[in-house]
Amino acid sequence: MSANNYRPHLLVLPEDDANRQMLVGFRNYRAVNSRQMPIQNVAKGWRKALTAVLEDHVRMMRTYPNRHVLLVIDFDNQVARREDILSQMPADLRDRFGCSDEPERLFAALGTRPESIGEMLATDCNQDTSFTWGHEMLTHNASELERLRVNVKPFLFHQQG
Amino acid sequence: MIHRFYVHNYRSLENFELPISGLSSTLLIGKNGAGKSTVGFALEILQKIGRGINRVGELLLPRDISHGKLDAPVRIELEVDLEGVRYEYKLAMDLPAGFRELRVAEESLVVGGESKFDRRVADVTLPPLGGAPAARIGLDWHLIWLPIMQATSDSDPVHVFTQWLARMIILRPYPLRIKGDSTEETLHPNTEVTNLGDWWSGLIAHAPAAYSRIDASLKLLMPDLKDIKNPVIARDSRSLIVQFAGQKAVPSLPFELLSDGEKCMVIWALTMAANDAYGPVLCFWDEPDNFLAISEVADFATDLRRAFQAGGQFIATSHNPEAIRQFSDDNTFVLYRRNHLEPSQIRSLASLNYSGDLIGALTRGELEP
Repeated sequence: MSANNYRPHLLVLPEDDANRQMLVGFRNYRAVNSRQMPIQNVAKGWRKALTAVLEDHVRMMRTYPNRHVLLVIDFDNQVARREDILSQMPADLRDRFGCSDEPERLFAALGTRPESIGEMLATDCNQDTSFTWGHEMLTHNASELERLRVNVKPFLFHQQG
Repeated sequence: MIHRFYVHNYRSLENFELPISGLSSTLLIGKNGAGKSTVGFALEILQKIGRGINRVGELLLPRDISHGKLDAPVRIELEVDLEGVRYEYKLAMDLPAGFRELRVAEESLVVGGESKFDRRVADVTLPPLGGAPAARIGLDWHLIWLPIMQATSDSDPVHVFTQWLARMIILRPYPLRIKGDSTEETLHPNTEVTNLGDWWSGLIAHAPAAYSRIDASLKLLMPDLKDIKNPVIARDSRSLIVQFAGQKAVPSLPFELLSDGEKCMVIWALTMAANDAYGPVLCFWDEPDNFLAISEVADFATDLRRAFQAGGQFIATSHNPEAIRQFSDDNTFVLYRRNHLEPSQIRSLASLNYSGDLIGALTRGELEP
């Protein structure tokens, strides 16, 4: 009997399974309000993820005004991809939509498991630090991260520290 | 936390080691008959020993020996770290020619590197203690020594270990048979949880604050739940009743009238509260997603994982895609065997190559070690 749809929540769409595992680690971080962060099935490719957003989630974002949607994909070094994706979102929903780049090579670069990386990213978000988000492969997410901090953090984290 | 769990010659488990050291929660997946539940049955043998069952015939039957291989004993070995101390318990049981009941071939307990006892068949050797020399005791070889061994205090390592075994929570709930009645208090739910009322009473008596944890958890899944009461209905007898919001005009609902899924939600809440109240415990839950609506499965599994992060260990089995997605390659293990004559193999999902998404690979039967 879930009431999540009527409370602020962040629906996350991972592009692939590595991203899903990282998001599982993020959501398992003790301070994350896990019920407000449903993770969807992997989209199997960023284009399919975007199609799902435009064909399904845009309509449901209007049905549920407390729904925020985050696309977690691999930009494949194409940093302009974010602007391309954001530009396709209807203007009235852009405040509730985000797109984050989590390149697969990040997992190898950090030398740890996706779940652990997710937990490290959540720790940064909760404690307003940038130990992991500051990694060179993630720094281009800074403006998007700031937007998420403003729009999503108040309901996504239920305690500090 | 389990450091090592080794099973040999028991049903489909031959030379089998469960690689869950250091993991607070793990998921076992695999086809029907692969051996996932058998891991729980092997753990249940140790749980029963902890709960005082010491007759080998009540723990293991000749049919449990792998493919009738009578030339090798059934071995169960457990290494567990409790409060920073390593406990190593080994038990081997065999069926010599002409026997109808298995007997103990070997049994030993080592705590922090020191032997507490060592046994060969009927001879139990106790180490020197306080200037007293080593002692030898003769024991019926159909009896397990561990539950008989006298602990001198609650802090005695033998008591600490047997209590931990006894408090393992091994779950294969059978909701239709769960009534909510109780005539005693226990911290030992049975595997089908048909003594849920006794467990509820025991948990609340042991740690009254557990009620608030249970209440808060249940209200996440049942937002219209007002409370659950456990009134006395006869001498030495109680029965759980459930009140939902807006139900003032009608009587409370007897617990047994809850749906199967709702009963599992109560088990879920009790499990997490139990780990808080008298843990850390080991919980093995065979298909926790059974009976649940698909919209509940992800939160249900996630909450269990999170509840055991701070202590204890949670092991689940599942065939449910939504439950499987709440774990990752490093804490998911695939059990596999080609046919019923082969032993179960176990591999970390991280060590297997599969393409695309996991659920797709499972659906196509591509996860083979």
